[in-house]
Amino acid sequence: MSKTKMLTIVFACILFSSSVASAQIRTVLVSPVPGDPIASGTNLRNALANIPSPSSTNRWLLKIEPGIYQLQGTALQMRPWVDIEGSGIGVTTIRLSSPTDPFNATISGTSDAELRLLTVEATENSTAMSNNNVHPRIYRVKFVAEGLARRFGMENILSAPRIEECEFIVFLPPSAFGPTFGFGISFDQLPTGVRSSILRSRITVSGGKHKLRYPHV
Amino acid sequence: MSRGQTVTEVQETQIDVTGGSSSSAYGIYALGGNWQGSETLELRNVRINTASSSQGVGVLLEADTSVALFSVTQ
Repeated sequence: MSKTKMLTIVFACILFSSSVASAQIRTVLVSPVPGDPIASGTNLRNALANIPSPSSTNRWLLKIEPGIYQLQGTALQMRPWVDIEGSGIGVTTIRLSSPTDPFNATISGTSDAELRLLTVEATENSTAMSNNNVHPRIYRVKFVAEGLARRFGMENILSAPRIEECEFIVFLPPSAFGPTFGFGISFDQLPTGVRSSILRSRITVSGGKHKLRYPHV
Repeated sequence: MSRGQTVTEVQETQIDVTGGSSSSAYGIYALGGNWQGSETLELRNVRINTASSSQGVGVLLEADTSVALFSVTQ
């Protein structure tokens, strides 16, 4: 076999193997139910749950179309090896209603997965995103927390997220019945050997003006 | 499990905190680590604004953490 022919075969093998590798990333598209954010939220939860056996060699992308996706009860638990991608900040919005526990997060992160290009809101619950012993990547996500007296844009326990180009807005209510607490990003413990990064982001915590419970007029 | 620093780097980030008189507001709140004094917290191009409240904190690190400023030559 000539040297040229041999090189051609090797090159073709490399091309073929790279196309096989890229083909292993599968995409699931989630669409909203027009005029029904709760049904849209159910669609989102089911789509993520139904992805079969994601792994390092079987990676998936959950692509979410524009719309409001209102989850009910509990957080959307991300899955390893499944990236979740919206259609843009303010274009795809995920929120939680009727939380089973007021301290439930809207989204719960995981390692080996990225959350990107969407808005996550906590309006009836305390926390937009929580990470517990995981190290997720977050890119171009806007977190809004304006639910309870104790609010978190992102709460990390034993977790080291990589946060890039994100915005955190925590708005504290007028406190008529006691003090309020707002945290843009909180960290609680971290094992050695992992890095938590906040890059090119903006964190805004505001509000909480005192409001008299029994104002004298 | 050995614990280390809770935050490793913050770069090109703006933190604005304006809590009210009856609220406690924190931009970054980091507790429960076990800083030994040999870690590096890398802050680069970080702007922190805390205004109008004694309870508005831009970055809170755990007690006894010291932040030293050194000149860096690149």
